[in-house]
Amino acid sequence: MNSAAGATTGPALAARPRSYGSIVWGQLRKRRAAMVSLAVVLALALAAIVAPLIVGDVPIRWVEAGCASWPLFHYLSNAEYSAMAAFILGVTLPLTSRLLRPWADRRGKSAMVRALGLGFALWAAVTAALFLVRTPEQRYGFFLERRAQAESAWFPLIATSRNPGYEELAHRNQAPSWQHPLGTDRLGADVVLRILYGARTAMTIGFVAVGIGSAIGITLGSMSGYFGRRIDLVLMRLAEIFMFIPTLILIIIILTVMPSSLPPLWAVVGVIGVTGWTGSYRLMRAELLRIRGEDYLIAARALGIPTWRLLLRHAIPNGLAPILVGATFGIAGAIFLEVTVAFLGIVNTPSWGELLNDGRQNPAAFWVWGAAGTAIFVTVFVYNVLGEAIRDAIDPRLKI
Amino acid sequence: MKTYIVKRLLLMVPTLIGMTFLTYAIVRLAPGDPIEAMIRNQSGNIDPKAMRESADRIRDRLGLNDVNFWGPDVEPHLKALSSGNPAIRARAAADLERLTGLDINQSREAWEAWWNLRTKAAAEAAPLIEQAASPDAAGRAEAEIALEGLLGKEAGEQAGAPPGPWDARLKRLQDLLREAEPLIWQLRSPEEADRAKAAEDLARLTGLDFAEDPVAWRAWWDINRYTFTRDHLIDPLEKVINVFYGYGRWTVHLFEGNFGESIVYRMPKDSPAVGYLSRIQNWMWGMDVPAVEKALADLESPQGKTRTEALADLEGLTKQHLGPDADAWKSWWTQYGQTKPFAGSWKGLDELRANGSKNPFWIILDRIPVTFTLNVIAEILVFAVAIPAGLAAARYRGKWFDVGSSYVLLGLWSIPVVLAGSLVLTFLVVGGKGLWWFPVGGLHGENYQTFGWWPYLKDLLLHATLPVACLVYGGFAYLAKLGRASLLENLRADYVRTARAKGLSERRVVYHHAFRNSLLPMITVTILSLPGLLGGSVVVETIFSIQGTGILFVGAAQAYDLSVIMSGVLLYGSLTLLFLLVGDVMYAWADPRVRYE
Repeated sequence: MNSAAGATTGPALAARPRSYGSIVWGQLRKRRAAMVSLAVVLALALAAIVAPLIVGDVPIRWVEAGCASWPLFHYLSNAEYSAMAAFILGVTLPLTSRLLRPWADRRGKSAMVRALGLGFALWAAVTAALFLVRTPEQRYGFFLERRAQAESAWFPLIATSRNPGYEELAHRNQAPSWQHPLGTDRLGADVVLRILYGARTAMTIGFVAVGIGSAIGITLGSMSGYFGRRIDLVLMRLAEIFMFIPTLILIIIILTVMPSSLPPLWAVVGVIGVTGWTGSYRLMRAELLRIRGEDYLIAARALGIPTWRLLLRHAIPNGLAPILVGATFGIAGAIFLEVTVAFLGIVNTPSWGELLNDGRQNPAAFWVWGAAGTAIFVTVFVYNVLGEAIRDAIDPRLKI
Repeated sequence: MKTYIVKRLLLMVPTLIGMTFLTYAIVRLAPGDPIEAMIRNQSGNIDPKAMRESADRIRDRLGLNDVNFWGPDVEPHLKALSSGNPAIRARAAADLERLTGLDINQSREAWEAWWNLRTKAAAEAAPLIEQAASPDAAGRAEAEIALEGLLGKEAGEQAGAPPGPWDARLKRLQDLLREAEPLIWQLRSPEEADRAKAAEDLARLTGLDFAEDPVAWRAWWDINRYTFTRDHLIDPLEKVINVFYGYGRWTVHLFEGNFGESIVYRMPKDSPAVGYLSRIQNWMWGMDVPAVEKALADLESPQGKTRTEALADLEGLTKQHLGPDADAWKSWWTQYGQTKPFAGSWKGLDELRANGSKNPFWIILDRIPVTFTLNVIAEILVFAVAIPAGLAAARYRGKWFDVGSSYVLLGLWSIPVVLAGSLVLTFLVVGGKGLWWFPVGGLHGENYQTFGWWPYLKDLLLHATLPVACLVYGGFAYLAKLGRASLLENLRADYVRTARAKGLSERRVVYHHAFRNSLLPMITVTILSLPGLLGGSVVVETIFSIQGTGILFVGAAQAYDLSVIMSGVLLYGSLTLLFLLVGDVMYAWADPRVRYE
């Protein structure tokens, strides 16, 4: 986060002025529930990203006829590698920021912003390189069936078919066992597999949809709050219009009408994103109305800094914290919305809602609905706790 | 104040226009064609391969894979393939592809080879197919193997199943339609005697009772013709496939031609009209009626077969899973499994027509009382629990009650309604797997109109308990948080410090001074929640099959019924805007510090 009171230079200053972001983070660090929630969120994201390592039928290492190979790494898609890179870079961000601190301090820049920029550049480079150079293996190996022929095979923790077919139907609706820790569903698919791949859907809907919404909200909200007057009036009406658009109904219509060549997941993401920006818009607008009159902004304006730079570097970064609260709750809401859509039986992507819906049909198989329900509950609960904690952390009235 | 209100009211107009316009634009500009989507949805299959497979299955079931069926149409196209004119060749190939569902392009040799193979195979296969249906197990196996060699593996498997009653039925129906057509025209005759005679003849022919109404007879005739006659099957074949696969909504679509609009989701669930449609669907689905009836008899009093076998037969034949209870099967069969096509009551058709052409405004208005009752009870409960909880949490800030209630309410908020609803529906209702405490389905029991006020109220309460519980539990967290924050803010205010400095008791400070002021933000929340009471809760209504507005709007969205959707959006939007204004005005009235310029 950008330093609030302008940059201070020189290593001689022992006590650096703390940026707004670091104050909020410090407050957050004190709350154990928030830290636990953050850990769960990260663990969930990690599990979703490395799902093929945990459950699946493509071995990590395979030795046949004296010849060793690493099939899994050929099968992982570019998007999976890219997500892994994003996760690693994101988690190591504090470390990078610390490494960059001496250099950034010398130049009077914010280390965190530099670290973010560096991380993003690295990730973009890795992703571009992946998509330009690499072609993932498309063929299916039938490794599970040929298990006996291998001299040594390292399968994922739970070795089970990724595309359950005819053979799996024989052991459908099985209670939890060592082979299937959460049992199997009505088609014989492993429930852990469905939970982990459903987590990917939940993450995509949560992060991407809320990301789109927040981006629109921040842009329009800062314009509305900073410029005021006629722009504010028009944008406020626009927000009102979007506020009353029934998202669920819209998703249903679009999913019903959409040609099957387009993935249904992106319709859900798109609709939630495009209609869900009003919350962050109002928060950002309120923040900018406040910030507009702050001393540092008046000072910056007096220095003749161009408006775009004023907004991008000074005003917006200081108004982001409330957006974070809204976004955290928004992710929970988006996951719920997906569950509802799946419940109405419209989408067919692997998702928790779909799994829960499957489980409903057969209440005796409690491991199916139990697992799906627990996954949804824990995720939504954790995001809600995190949102509450961030809200408490940024509320200045609580810092008594 | 007056100018402020007028200004807000005037601003409402462009907002409402913008809102309806935008919703309409998004709906219309969404990629894809609604009609195509309707067909696709009904088929339940998405990729072309699965579509083709299902087409094949249906052709088999209907006996349409018999090559002679295509004979007269296919042969001229085959001849046209050898024409010198490339345009004619292309057209013929396209026609062939459309007719057969194959993709052999313009190669004449390939098409002819295919044709010869089919003709030859059909001639050779006919006795084998008969043999495959024979009761002799050894002969059946032999025939199946032979068929596999001849027609491929799938055909062999399918031949093992008993041949459906479809060929005979189709033929009978075609004859019937041919006979009925002039009679239906005769119904429009000016002569009273002619009309009566035609109606009588029709009734005798079909066993139906549509009296002298030409529209009803025409509808019956059209549905049959468009779904079952050969000329329609051929052009375009896919359409028929969809009729059979997505029987439900396509039937409705056919009704639309006769009755004006899409209708079925506008029906109450227990309406005879819906039962009527289900019967059409079952018949179209081609259940083997005598076999089902035999299995039903076996289930009741086993003759030769065990109950388990009979049950397996029933499930296989009907694709229903109703458990081992013979009574359940029987009542299901009397309700849906009529043997005679379209033996529905005239009342059902009448109702379909009446609802189909209704103004959407009245349809929405019809549903509002149900949703409103449910949501008002829920809302009162939410306020009754959440506000005291929030205020107590603020009063004992940081103590165990504050922390505990915060997590419990957050936890409740995080339980998906789908899960909670399904659980209570499985374990708490009559006929479920656990405690038989609550009745299920709708808001009233049977014959509730005849009840006195006390049984009526008891019935309503018993029916409403579970839906209300599912509506309520998620709403506590938000209000409690709001109440807590509001009281905390007031406790830090100067006037509270003054009151404390005066030496008032803590009790009096909290309840007399801070508490009353902290209820102010609740005004806005309460008033803003009022329009939401009409919007309904889709999931709860769907789970408990309560015919409220939520279910109506979702049904409308799925049926692409823009009139209902846009009416709903407009109604909801204008109410919300209006109540926003009312809330602001009331807030200013309650809190003199608030001023609108």
